[in-house]
Amino acid sequence: MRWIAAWALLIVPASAFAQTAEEDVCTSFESLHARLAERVAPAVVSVHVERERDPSERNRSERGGWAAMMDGGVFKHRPSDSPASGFILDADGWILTSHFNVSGNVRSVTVTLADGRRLEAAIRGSNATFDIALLKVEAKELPTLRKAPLEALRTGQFVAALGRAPDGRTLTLNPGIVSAPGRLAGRGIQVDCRLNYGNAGGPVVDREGRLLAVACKVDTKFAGSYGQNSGVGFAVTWDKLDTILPDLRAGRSVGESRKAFLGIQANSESEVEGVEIDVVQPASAAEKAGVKRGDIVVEFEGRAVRNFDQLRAVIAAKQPGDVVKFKVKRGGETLNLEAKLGWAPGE
Amino acid sequence: MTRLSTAAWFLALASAAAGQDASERLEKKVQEISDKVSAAFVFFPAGSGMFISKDGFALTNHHVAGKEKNVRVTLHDGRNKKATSICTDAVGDVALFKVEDLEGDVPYLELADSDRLEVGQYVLAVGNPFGLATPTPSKMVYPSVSLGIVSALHRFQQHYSDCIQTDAAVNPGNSGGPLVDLRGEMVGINGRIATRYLNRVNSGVGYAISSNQIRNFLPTMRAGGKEGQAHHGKIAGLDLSRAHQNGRGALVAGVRADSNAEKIGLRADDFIVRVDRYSIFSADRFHGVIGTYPEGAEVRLSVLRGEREVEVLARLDRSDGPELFGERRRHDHGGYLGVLLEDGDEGVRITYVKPGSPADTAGLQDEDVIVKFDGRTVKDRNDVLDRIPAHRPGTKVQIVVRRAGQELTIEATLGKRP
Amino acid sequence: MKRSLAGIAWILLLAARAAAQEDEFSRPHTRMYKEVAPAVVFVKGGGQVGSGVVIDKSGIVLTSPTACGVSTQTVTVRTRGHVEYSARVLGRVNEKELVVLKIDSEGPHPFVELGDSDSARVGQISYAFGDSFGSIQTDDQVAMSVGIVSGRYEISKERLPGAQYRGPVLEVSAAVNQNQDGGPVVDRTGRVVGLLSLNYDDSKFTGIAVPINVLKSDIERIVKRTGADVDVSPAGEPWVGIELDETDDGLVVQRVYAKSPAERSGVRKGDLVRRANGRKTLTTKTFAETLRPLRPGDALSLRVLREGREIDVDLKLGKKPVY
Repeated sequence: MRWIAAWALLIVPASAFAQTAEEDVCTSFESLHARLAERVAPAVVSVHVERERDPSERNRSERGGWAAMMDGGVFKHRPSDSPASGFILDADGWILTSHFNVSGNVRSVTVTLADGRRLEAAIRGSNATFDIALLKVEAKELPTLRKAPLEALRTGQFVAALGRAPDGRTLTLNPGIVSAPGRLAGRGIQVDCRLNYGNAGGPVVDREGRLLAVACKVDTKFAGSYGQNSGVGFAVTWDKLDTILPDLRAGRSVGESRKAFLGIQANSESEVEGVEIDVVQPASAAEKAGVKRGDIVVEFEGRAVRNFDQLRAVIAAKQPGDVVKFKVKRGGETLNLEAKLGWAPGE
Repeated sequence: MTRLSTAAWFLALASAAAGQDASERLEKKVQEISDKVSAAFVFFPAGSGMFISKDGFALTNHHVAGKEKNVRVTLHDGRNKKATSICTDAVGDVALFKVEDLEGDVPYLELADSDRLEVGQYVLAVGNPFGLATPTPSKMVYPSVSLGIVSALHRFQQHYSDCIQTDAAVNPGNSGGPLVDLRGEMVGINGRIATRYLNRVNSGVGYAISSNQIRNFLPTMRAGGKEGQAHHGKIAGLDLSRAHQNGRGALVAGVRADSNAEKIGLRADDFIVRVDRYSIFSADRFHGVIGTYPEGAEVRLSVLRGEREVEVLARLDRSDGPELFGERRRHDHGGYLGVLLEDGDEGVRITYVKPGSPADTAGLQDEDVIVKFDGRTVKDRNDVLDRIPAHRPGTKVQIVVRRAGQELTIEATLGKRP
Repeated sequence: MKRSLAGIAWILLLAARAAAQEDEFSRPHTRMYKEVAPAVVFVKGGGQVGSGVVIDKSGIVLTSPTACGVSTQTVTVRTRGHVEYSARVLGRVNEKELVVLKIDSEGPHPFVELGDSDSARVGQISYAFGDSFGSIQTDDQVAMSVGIVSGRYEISKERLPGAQYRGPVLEVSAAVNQNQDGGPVVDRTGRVVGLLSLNYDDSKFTGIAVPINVLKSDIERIVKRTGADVDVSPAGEPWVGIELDETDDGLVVQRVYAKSPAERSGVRKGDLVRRANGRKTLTTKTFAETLRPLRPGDALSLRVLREGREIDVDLKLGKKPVY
C-alpha cells in the first residue's frame, strides 16, 4: 500500500503540474504572433513602385461589371499599383523584394521603412527565375533578421510570412506550416500560408522570427485565374538565395528562364499539313534564323509537325538560349534551319 | 532504477513537457505526424493515396485510378511499383489497390473512428496538389502537408453523402490522399473541394469521405466486390417526402407495393428518426447515412409511428447511384440521363456521372458545365432536371457543355429511369 | 497480487491520460464550437441566403442585407435542429451591412455576447462561423473555420468597388465563403468582434468583417426601441410621402402621395424644398441624409418655397407602407 501511495503522490502532482502549466494553443499562438510581429517588423519594408502607365491598361479598368471583376483579378497578378512587401537583407541598405514587384516599366521605387522613413531605392539586380530583386537604399545600420538553421527545416514546421499591407504601413502576418521541402526544383519550400500578391518579396520566418525563405509571387498555376491563393505557396530558402546574391549585387539581372520564344505566328486557316507562318516577329529568333512569311514548318526537333499547338508545346518545353533545328517548306524546296530561342516578352 | 529515481525521472519529464508552450508542442506533433503519414503515402498518377496495411493494400479515390486495372505508383522513398486494382466503389469514390513486389512490410495508416471527430479538431491533409512532388536528390518524394481543422461533419454533398468538411488546404491532386488526426490515424480520404469564381482551387472548403464509411466497405472491397465493383445500398421502394420537417426526421411519403420497404414494415407517414447510431433529422440526412453502407448491409431503423417508436430491420438492396429522390417533375415521360447537378457561380455543373448511364455512354464528365440542353440555354439545375424526364427514353438530345475552357456539343440518347 | 493490480491500474491511468492528451491541442477549438455554434443561424429572405448570429436569448439576430435582402420585413431563419422560424426585421442600417432580426419564437435561444473590436489585434486567433455551401440549410451543421486577424484597415472605393460600406474593417484569414454573409467573427473568448458581411476579397478567400464596435450603437438603438415599444410590427422606415426631383431651382416636389404625412400637412406639388429640420437640402442626397437618423413618429420640419413665398411645413413622419 505504501508503494501505491508513494506513486500516487508523485503522479498526481506531476500530471496536475503539466495540466495547469499548459496554456491552450490559442493563447500560445497569440503570444507567438505578437512576438513574431515585434521581432520581425523592424526589418519588413513597404516597396512602392511608380510605373509608366500603359494606356491600354487604363481603358480596361474602366469597364464595369463582370469585366471589371475579371480585370480586377487579372491585375492581381500584374505588379500591384499599391505598395508591396520587402525586407532588409543587410544593415547597409540592401533590400530584398520580389522580382515581380519591380517588373514592368518602372519609373521609380520608394521603400518605406518600419520607422516611417521613405527612401528612394535603386534596383540593383533581379532574377526572374528565383523571383528576387535586390534594391539599394542610402541608409546604414538598418535592422536585419537572423537566419534560421536550415538543417532543422522539416515538413510541419511553423512559419509565418510577413509583409506590409497596401496602405504601405500596416504589418501583415500570415501563419502556416512548411508543406514540403525541396520544391521549386530544389530552390525552395512549399508553405500553406494563405499568401497573396502583397506577400511576394516578404520574409518567411520560423517561430523564433529567423529568416527561412523569401515568399514568391502567387503563381497563377497554383492559384485561381484571379490570383487567389489556394493554400499552396512557395518561398526560396536563404541558402539558395545566397547563390544568386553575388550576381545581383554586381548588377547582373537574369530574366525569366521559363518562357522560350521563337517569334512566329501561324495561319490558323491553313489547310496544309504543318504550320504555315503568317508573321515573323522582328528581331526574333525566327527572323535571325531566316524564317520567312509563308514558310511551312514540317519538322521540328526531329519530329513531324502537324499543327501550331503541337509546335507551341515543344517550344514551351525549351529554355531560352536552347538551339533548335527544324525544317520548313518554301516554294518547292525543303530547308534546314536552326534558331537560338530567345526570351518571351515579359508581363 | 530505484523507485525514487523513477519518480524523479517521471516528474522531470512532466515538467519538461509543461515547459514547452502549447504551440511549440503542437509544432512538434505536426512534424511527427507529417513524417509518419509521408512514410505511408502512395503517389498515384495525378493523385494521392496511402497504405492501409503492412502488406501493401492502398486506398485512393475512384476518380483518381478506379477505372484502371493496374497503375504504377511511387512511394515516399522513391520506389516505383505496380499496383493492381482489387475493387472500386464508383459512387462512394473509393478505390482499393494492392501494391506488388514490396520487399517487406510497409508503413501504413490505421483508420480512426470518424464518429469521434469533433468540429474544431486539428487535421492534416496530405497529398500531391498540382502534382508538385518531384524526386529530390536523395530520391525521396515528399507529399504536401497542410494543417487545418474539421469545419463541419456529416455533410451531404450528393454522392459524398456523409463527408467531413475541412479548412486545411486541399487542391486538385490531393484527391485520394488521407486526412489525418493528431494521432496520425486516417479520419478520411480527401476527394472534393467546393470552389468559386470558376476556379478549381481551394477556397477553404475540402470534403473528405469518412473513415467509417470506408470501414463499412472494406470487407466487401478486400474480397474483390462483385467483379471488382462495390455497390452501395438502399431500401428499395421507399419514397421520402421532400418537404421541410423542422428536424423531426425523414417522413415516409409512400411505400411501393411488394417492395423491400413494404416488406420490412415501413408505412406512409412514418417518421424515420434513427439509423443505427445516427439520429435522422431530414430526408437528406437519411440518404446521407444510408449512403455509407454497402449493398447487403443490415441496418436498424427507429421509426416514429404516431405516438409509438417502432424498430425496423432492413437489409439493403443494391443502389446504382444517388437517387434523384423521386422528385416528380412536371412532365414525366420517364427519360433518364444519369447525372447529379449542382448550381454554382459558373453555371450548372455535373458533379457525378453514373457509370454505365446514358450520360456516361455519351461522354459527359464530372465538372462539365451544362450551357445548353436540347437547344435551350440552361439557367439552373432545375431547368435540366425538368427537361430530362419530359422526353421519352430513346430520345436523342444535344447537350452543350463547357469543359476546360472549351465548349463541346455532346449528343446523348436518354435512357429509362431505373 | 495487490502490487501487480496497482501496477496495472497505474499503467491504465497513464495510458488513458496519454490517449486523452492526443487532442489537447484541439480542445480550445472544439470547446469554442460547442459554445458558439448553437447561436449561429441560417438566414433567408429577399431572394438571398446567408448566415446570422443570435445575440440575445429572446432571439435577436444580427445579419446582413446580403443574407436576407435590402428591404425585407420578414425573413426565414433556420436554427440548430433544422428548425425553421420566421423572423421580422427590427431595423436595418444597409450602409453598414447590418440587419437586426427578432425570431418569432420566445426561446430561450442560445446566444453569444458582443466583444470589443477595438482590441482585436493582428495575429489574434479568430473564428468564422456560418452556413458554408448549405451546411446549416441542408445538413444542420454550422461550419467553423479558424485563422487569425490578418489585417485592420479602412475601406475605400478602390479597394472594394461596389461595397456600400465605407469605414474600418477587420480582415481574418479564416476561410470564408458564400452563404457566410451575416455570420460572426469571434475571438478566442467566444465574443463577436465583427460581422462577415463583406467577404469578397477574391485574392485570398479571407473574410472581411465590419467591426462590431461600428455597429454597437445602431444595434442598441434598434433593440432598445423595440423593447420599449409595445408595437408588434417592425419599426419600418420613416415616410414623408413625396417624390422629389432635382432641378436647377433645387428640390421640387413632383408628387404627393395620398394619405401621406406630406398630404396631411399641406405639402403641394411644385413646392421647392429648401430646408429640412433646419438643414439646407438642395439635392435628394442631402434630403435622404437628413431623413436617415429619423424614425416613424419623429417630427420633420420643412421650409418650402411656394409661389415666391417661404412657408414652414411641420409634419410627423409615418411608416413606409409595404406594397
